[in-house]
This record gives sequence, structure tokens and C-alpha cells, in this order.
Amino acid sequence: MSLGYFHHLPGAALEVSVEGFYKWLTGVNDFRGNVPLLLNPYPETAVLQGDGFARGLEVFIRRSSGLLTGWLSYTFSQTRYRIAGSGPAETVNNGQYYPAGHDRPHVFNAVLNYKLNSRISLSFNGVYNSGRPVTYPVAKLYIGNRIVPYYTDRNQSRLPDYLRADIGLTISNPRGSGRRFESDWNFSLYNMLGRRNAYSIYVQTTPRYADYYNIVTAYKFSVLGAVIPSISYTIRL
Amino acid sequence: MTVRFWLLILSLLAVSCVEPYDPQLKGGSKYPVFEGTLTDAPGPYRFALTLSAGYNNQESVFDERVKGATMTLSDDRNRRTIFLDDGRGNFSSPTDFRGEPGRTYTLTITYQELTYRSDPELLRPVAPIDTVYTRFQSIPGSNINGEFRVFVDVNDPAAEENYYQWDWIHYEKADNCLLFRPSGTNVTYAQRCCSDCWDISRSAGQILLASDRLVNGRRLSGQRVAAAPNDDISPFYLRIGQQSLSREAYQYWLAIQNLTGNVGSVFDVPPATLAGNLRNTNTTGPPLLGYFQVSARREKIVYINRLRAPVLPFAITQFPFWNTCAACTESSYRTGQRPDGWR
Repeated sequence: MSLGYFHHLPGAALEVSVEGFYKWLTGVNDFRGNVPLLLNPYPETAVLQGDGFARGLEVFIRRSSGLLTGWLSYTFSQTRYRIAGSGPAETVNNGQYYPAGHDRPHVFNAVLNYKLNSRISLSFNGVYNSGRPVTYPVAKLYIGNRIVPYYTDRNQSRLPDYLRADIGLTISNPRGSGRRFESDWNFSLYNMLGRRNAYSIYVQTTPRYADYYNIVTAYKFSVLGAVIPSISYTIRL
Repeated sequence: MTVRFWLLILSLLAVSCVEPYDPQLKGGSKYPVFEGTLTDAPGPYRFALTLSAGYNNQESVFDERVKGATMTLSDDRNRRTIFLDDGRGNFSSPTDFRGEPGRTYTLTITYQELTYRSDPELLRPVAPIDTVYTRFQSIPGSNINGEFRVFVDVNDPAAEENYYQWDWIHYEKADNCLLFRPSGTNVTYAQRCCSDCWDISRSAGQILLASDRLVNGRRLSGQRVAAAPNDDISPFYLRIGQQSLSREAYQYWLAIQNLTGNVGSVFDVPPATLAGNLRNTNTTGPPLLGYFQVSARREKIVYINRLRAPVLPFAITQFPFWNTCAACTESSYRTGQRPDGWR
């Protein structure tokens, strides 16, 4: 179910929309706790089914003409699952609603293009997301000469927020006298802030050397955690 | 296509990274944690109660000891055995007490005015270890010149589902009893032991399990339980213990293995609450974590012939000997008591 309001402002070349939504979810899947997925000959036994809902509000602004064009969007949403099976092994978080693995309450996107002159334009792409849910141990235990992480409820913490900005500069060579094609040079920086956004965070214990019982480590794994420059040349016949 | 794929993977690897991160995990309420196994081997049995701590480097599970708890074991004939507390959360059975195969045992723990009771646990018999054998494995890039991997075979009884757990202990004549560096020098000296002394190493921290699910009633073979480093030519003493497990206990140890083995990949085992068999008699009260394990136990002592290694043993660092000896101090890593079956 969704309800929205759309408004066009021709004077400012702006489109504005606000939309709320609510969706009932059935047959949602989540992983069963403590069942390996890798090389599992019965992967269906590693998955549980339940129900849930997704709800939220989206705000969208677009400008499609003028020197500055692009759009901004912001979404506030919640996605919740409930998995209440017949026994503890088929139940997650005691059968209560909990944040789905892809739940991101705040999502902000910005895509902007600014025309410096007829040949050169600047572009900007910005992304901000809340971190997705993660399950951290609430305690450590000493069992079997190992430090064992103790978990209670699933998805009660979040990864650090995701923030990325990309910029680009495009120089166009229009079809003209003696030129049989159009071409563009594009220079861009992906992730210009060089931010190491977390793909995952995991905790590790030292399994064999009980003397170092106090050392526990958490690691952040980042993919594309650097500024990535690129140059491209495009030909349009 | 393949080349492009690998180029893509390589470029992703080049800009991905793993770095330490502090998720600021603070310890909340402390859970009592039980660990102990009752067997049919001679006692006394030592059970432990520890307390959980926050998952960080500031808190330790040994910061605070369990004090004032009681532990009582009862069997299916209502015979009660009280375990003695040393005041630090370690409990010992009477010396002459011993588990009996076929009996069912229930453990009752009281702590801070709460009572916890285990599920009744049957002491299931276990088949003896049939064969112990080794295979030499070279380890490229390692500082030991390979190792002898130790395997066991067991003839699994057909009648019921069986789960196995192994552990081992290794004794080695101590070369020295003390290393020290006299002040003003940068030479490390070793002091020989004044009496017979053995260094001890154990399988502590390893989880060695098997189920007979695929071989029920036939031979459970090739279960890797230990490794003897190729660092000497002397026979390698190994005492291997084999214990029976209930299905629940097997799953409990598998869960611990999974919980401690995650490395942040998409194939990680999704975490779950570690479920034990000790319950608060007041169902709304806080839990007591851990598992009261009841197992039959068989042991086998073997000597591994390391002369068969295809490569020379790794020469361990030798320190010059000092002209006086040092006492053999009893600890969990060293003993002056001759090991069973030592020759």
C-alpha cells in the first residue's frame, strides 16, 4: 500500500514527490543460527521462513533543466522480519520482530550535474546509508580453553554508516567541421573521500592459546576502500 | 572472460582491506558459565564455574571469581554427591567417586539464591580406540620440517547413534627446567632439572568430534586427532582419550566450533545463542550457560616413531647449560610424576 503526493514546479523546473508505503511480507527467509552454509548438502535446512513488513517515507526532488540538473532523494524506512517456528531452533529472537539483514533506515542519494560551459560539465554523486544490521556478541565465555562469543538477539547493532562521494569532469568534443563523430573525455574520482566503508565487521578469538585469554579482536572488512581515479574516452558515431 | 574475471578480482583485492575496529562492546550483566565432564574414568572430577565478561580487551572472564556457589550431583538411584568448592569457582568430587555407565546424572547448582538444574544425562558407553596410525606431512614454509599426523579408527557399535570426542596429552622429558639470562649479559642459559621432569602439552582448545551418521555400525576411520612435530627423533609419547557424547553435547561442541571460527566472509555461520543443558528452575530467571557433559572414556597410549620421517628433524634452539640445576615445579605444563606407560 502506498500513498504519494507529486508536484511539478515549472518555474523552477522542479519535480517534488513525497510517498509513504507499507508492505506486508510473507514467506521471508533468514538463516538459521549456527548452521553452516558453505558446502552444506542440505542448504534448505539452513533457511527459516517467516513474515514481516516494510514501511517508510520517500522524498524525491528532481531538476531536469538549467545549468544545474540532477536529483536528491531521502528515504526513511524500516524492514522487520518475524520468524516464529515450532521450536527454539526454528525461531529467531524469540519470535519477535527484528530488523531484516538489509534494513537501512536512512538512505540519502544525490546526483548533480553542473554545466560549466557548452563543452565542460561537472558531476557529483553522493550516497549516504545507515549501516546494515549486525549481530555482535554480548559477552565472552571461557569454554574448552577457548574464548567463545555469546550472542543473544540477532541484528541488534549496526555497521558504521556508509558514506561515499564521487566526482567527475566531462569534456565533450562536439561533431563539427572535419569531425565525423562526437567524443567525450571523462575524468572521475570514485570514493573521493577515500572512506573505508565497512562491508562487514567480525570478531575473532584466539582458539588455541588459552594464556592469551584476554585478547579478542574485531576487524572491519572494506571493499573499494580507496580513492579510485579513472579516465575514459567515449566515441559516439 | 576468465582473464577479465581475474583482473576484476585482483583489482578488488588491491583496494580492499581488513583493519582492526573497536565496536565498543561493553559487558552488561555477567552470566555464570559451567564447564565440566563426568566420566567413568577414575576421579576426582573437576568442574568449573566462571563468569562471562564483555567482549572486549578490557574485561576478562577471570576478573571476578564465582563465590558461594554449591554443586550437587544426583543419579537415577537418588544418590547425591556434593562437590567441594575451592572458593574460586573450582569444584572437586570426592576422590573415590566415579561415574557408572548406564546411570543417569543430574547436576544441581545454586548461585546467588538461584537454582539451576541440568537435564538428566545418561553415561553412554563408548567403544575402545581400535587403531592409531600416522602419516607424515611436510609443511612447506613452516619452521618445523613436517609433522606426523595422528589418526584413529574406531569400530562403531551398530545399535545406536554414537558421537565421539577426542583429546590428547603429550609428555616429553624436559630438557631444562629454567631459562634465565644473568644480569649484564645477553646470553640465555638453561638449567637442567634436578630430578626427572616432563613437559606437558595438551589438546586444550581443540575440538575433535565425530558422528557415526555416515558409517553407523561400521568402521569410523581416519579421524585426525593430533600431530607430532618432526623436531626430534625420539619416540613421541601420546595418550589419546576417546569419550562418548550425547547428540545434544555433540551439537553444543559443534556450535562452539562454529562460533569461534567465523572470519567475516559471506560463508560465515550465522551466529546463534549457545544453548546448554543447565536451566534456571525459575524459568524467567537469568540463564546459566555451559553444558554438563557425561561421557564414558577410553584411553590409549602410543609412541610415534619419528625415525621414519623422510626429512631431517627441525633442530630446536639449544641454549648453553648453566652449571647448577633447577627444581621441577609442578604446573599444568610440567610435572615430576612419571606419566602412565612411560618407557
